[in-house]
Amino acid sequence: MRFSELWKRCWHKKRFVAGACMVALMLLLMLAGFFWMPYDPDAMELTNKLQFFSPAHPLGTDQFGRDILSRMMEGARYSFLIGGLAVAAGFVTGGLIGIFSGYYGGKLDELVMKLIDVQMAFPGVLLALMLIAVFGVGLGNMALALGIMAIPRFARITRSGFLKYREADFVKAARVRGAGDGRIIFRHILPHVAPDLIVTCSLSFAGAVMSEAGLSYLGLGIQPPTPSFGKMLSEAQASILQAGWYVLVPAAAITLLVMGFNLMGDGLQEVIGHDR
Amino acid sequence: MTDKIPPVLAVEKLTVEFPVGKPAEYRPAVKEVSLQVKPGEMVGLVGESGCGKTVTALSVAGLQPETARISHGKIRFQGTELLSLTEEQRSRLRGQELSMIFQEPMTALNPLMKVGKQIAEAARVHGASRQEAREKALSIMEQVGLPDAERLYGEYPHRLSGGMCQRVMIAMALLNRPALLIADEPTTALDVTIQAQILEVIRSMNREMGTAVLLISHDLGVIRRMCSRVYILYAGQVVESGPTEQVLSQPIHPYTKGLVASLPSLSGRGKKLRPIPGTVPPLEERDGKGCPFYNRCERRRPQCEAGSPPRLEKNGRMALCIDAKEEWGL
Amino acid sequence: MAYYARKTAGFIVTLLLVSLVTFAVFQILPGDPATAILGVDADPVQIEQLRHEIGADQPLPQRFLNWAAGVLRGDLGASYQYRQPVAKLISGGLSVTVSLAVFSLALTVLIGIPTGLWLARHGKKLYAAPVTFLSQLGLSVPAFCMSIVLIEIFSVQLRWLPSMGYTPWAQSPLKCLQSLLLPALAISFGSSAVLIRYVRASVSQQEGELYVRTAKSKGAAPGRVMWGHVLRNSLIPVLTIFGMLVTDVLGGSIIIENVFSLPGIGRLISTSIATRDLPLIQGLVLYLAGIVVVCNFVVDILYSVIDPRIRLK
Repeated sequence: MRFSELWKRCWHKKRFVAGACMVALMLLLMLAGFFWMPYDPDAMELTNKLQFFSPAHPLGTDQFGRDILSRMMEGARYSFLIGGLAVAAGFVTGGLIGIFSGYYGGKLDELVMKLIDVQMAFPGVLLALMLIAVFGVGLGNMALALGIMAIPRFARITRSGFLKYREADFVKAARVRGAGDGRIIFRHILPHVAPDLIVTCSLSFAGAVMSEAGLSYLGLGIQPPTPSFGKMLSEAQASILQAGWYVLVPAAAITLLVMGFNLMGDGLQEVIGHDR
Repeated sequence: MTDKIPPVLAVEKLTVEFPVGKPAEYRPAVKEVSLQVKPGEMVGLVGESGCGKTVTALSVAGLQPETARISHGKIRFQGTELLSLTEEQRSRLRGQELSMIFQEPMTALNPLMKVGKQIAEAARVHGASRQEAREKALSIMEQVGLPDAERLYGEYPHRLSGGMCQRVMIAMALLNRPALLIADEPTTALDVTIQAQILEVIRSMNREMGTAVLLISHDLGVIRRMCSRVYILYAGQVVESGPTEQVLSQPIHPYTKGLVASLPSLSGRGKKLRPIPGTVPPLEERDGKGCPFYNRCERRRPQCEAGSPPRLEKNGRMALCIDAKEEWGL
Repeated sequence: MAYYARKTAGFIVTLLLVSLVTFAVFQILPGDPATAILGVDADPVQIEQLRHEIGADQPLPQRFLNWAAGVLRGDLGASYQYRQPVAKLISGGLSVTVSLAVFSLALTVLIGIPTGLWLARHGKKLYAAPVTFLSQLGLSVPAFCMSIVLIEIFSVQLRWLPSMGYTPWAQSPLKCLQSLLLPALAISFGSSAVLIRYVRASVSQQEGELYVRTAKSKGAAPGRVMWGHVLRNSLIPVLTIFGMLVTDVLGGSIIIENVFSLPGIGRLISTSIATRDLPLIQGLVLYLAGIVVVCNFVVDILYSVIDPRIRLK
C-alpha cells in the first residue's frame, strides 16, 4: 500500500482522528509557547500561591505562585523532545538490529533474540533507573535510557517483518535480477515493514512520554526549576490538601499525549490489518 | 419410494442473502432453492465452490453466519417449520434429530477437549447422565469403526489422523440416532484411500440406523456411488434435479452436461475430458437478471439473457433450462 | 520431556545473561566504588585498602565470578548507605512489594477477565462505550498519575482510605488491605486494560473457530458453548501474557511505592539511586529481574500443562 493511500485511510478511522486531535492540541500548546506565553514560567509570585483557574491564570498557579499554563507550555517541549529522542534512538538502533537479525538470521539472530528476552526481564522503568544510577541524573541521560528501553520493540517488529519477506517472491525476483543485499533490504523489503514501524513509533512515543513523566516524578528525570509534567504531578501531590484540582492539570496533559499517540497507533494498525 | 411418505426435510424456495459492498446491499447466495429428503434416503447436493451448497446446509441446521439473512422460503423438518422456531427450540433439535458433519474434521474438533468427552457431550446436552453419555459414546465409537474406543476416549484431537477425526465427527453426529444427517463435503480434506472408508461408514450408518443423509459434494463420482437422487446447484439456484442415474446419463442443463463431461469416470472411456470454461460469478456480480449460467453457457440464446429460464418438470426430474422443453417434449 | 529440558535450559541461560548484564552495566561506571564510598577527599591509602577489601582491584572476570558466587550464596554485598547486607534490606522490602504485586495481580485478573469476556459479547453495543473508553484510559494514564487522582478522590475528598504508609499483615490484616487497596487499584487500572484487550481479542477470534460451530451443531446452548468450549481456548493465549502482566505490575510498583510511601523494593531503588548506593541498586535490579524471569518460566511450564498440543512443538 502506498503511503498516501495509508494516510488517507487513517482519516476514516475514528480512533486515529481522535488521537490526532489530542496530539495536535498538545502540539499547538507547545508551539504557541515559542512565540507567546502568558507569564515567565519561572517567575514566582509568593502572594498568589495555588490560585484556582481564573482569567488572569487560566490554569491557576502552583505552590510558588508560578503560572501553570506557562509551565505546561514549556513542559510540553520536554515531553516531545524526550519522546522524539527516545523513538529516534530506538528506531535507528532497533531497526538496524532487527534488519540484520531478520535478514541474515542464524546464530546472530539467536543471540539478538536472547538479548531481547533478557532486556524484557527488566520490568517497567527499572532498566532506565539502572542506567540513570550509572550515568547520573539529567535530561540527556534520561533520553539515552529511554532510547535503550525502546530498542527491543523496534528490533522485534523489524525482525519479524524481514523474516517474513526475505523469502518472498518479489525478493527472490530482485535477487535474480542481481540486486545486492543493501538494495533488497532498503528498496524492496523495508517499504513493506514501514507501516508496522510507524505504528511502533507511535506506541513507543506514548511509552516514552509515560516513562519520562514517571522518572521526573521520582526526581530522577528533568530537574527543577525546568517544568515537566511528571515533576508537576509530584508538586501537586505535595499540595493536594490545599489544591486538589492542581493534580488534574498535569494528569490531563500526560493522558492526552499518551492516549493521543496510542489511539493513532491503534488506528494505523487497524488500517494495516485490514489490508492483509 | 412413493410420494406418499412425507419427507424428513422439505426446503421450499429458500433464499439466503448476504450484504455486499458499501453501502451494504443484500444479494442472494442461495436463491429459491427447493429440495426434499425422504426418510432413510441419501440425497446429493452438487456444485462448484461458491455455489451456495454450504450456505444451504448451514441454513437448514440454523448455523448460517450472523451476517446472513433468510429472506424467503420455508424449511420443514419432520412436519415442523424450522424458521418459526426460537433459537432454543432449534438448538434442541440439533444433534438430536438433525445432525451435521463438516469439511475440516481436524479443526472442527475442540483441541482442548478429549474426543470421548466431545462425543459424549452430544448426549449430555440432550439430557443424558454422565454415565449414560459415556456408554453411548463408547458404543457409537465402535459402530463408526474407531478402534480401541476405551483408549481413544481419552485422547486429544491432535493425536488423531484426519480420517479418525471425521469418524469422531460422525460418531458425535449419529449418537442420538437423528432422522437426518447433513454431511458437508465430509471427505474433501482427506486422502483418497480414507475418503472411501468414510463414505462407507456413512453408507452403513444410513442402512443400520435409517438416518437420511443429505450429502454435499463437488465430486459427482462420490454422489453417483452414494445417492439415489441429486440436486445440481449453480450460483445459488437448483438448475437440475432427479434420480442420480438419470440425471447423469441424460443431463439436460448445459451446466450438468459440462460437469459430466469434465469427469473421467462418467464421460466414458476414450472420450476427451472437457472442463467448463470460466468460474461461478461472485456474489457482487450476480444481478439477478436472466439465466445464472448465461455467461458460461455453450447453448445460450438471446432470450436467456433477459428472462429467467423456465422451471420444467417431468417424471420426478426438474431442469431450469429452456432446453428441457425439446428434450422432454413439453 | 524434551520440551521441559529445552525450557529449563533457556531459563538458566536467561538468568545468567540477566545477572551478567546487571553486573556489566555497573562496571561502566566512571570512577571507582571505593572513592564513591569514602568520598573524593578521602585518604588515598584508605581508598586503596578498601579497594582491596571489596575486591575492586581484581580483574573483571574474577570480580564477576566472585559476585555471582556471592549471589548464589545469598550474599549481595553491603549497602554503602545503610551499612547493612543488601540481602537483608531486600528481604525487608520484599514482603511489601510481593503483597502489593499479588494484590494488584488478583485485582487485574478479577477486573480484566470478566470485563474482557463481557466486551467480547457486547463490545459493539452503545452501552458498552463507557467501558471501552475506561479501558482505553487505563492504557493511557500512567499508574502513578492515576494514583494521585485516586488519592485526591478517596483520601482527600471522601477520606475513606489512607494516602500513604503501610501496615503489615501481621499487625492488622484489614488495615494492611486498606493501605494496599489504592496502590493496587492504580496499578491494576492499567494492567487490567491490557488484559481486557487480550481477552476480548482472543474470545472474538475463538468464536470464529470451526469447533464452535461443531459444538452448536451438537445442540449445545450458547452458555455451554461459551463456558465449555470458547473460554478455555481463549484463556490459553491469554496465559502467555501473564508473564508480561507480572512484569507490568512489578514495574508499576517501583513508582507507585514512592507515591504511597510504601517501604518496598521500589522505594528502596529510588532512594538508593538518589544516594548512589550501588551495591544496593545492583542487588535490587537483579532481584526484580530474577523474579520476572522465574515467573515467565513458570508461565511457560503452566502453559504446557494446560495445552496438550504445546509439548509437541
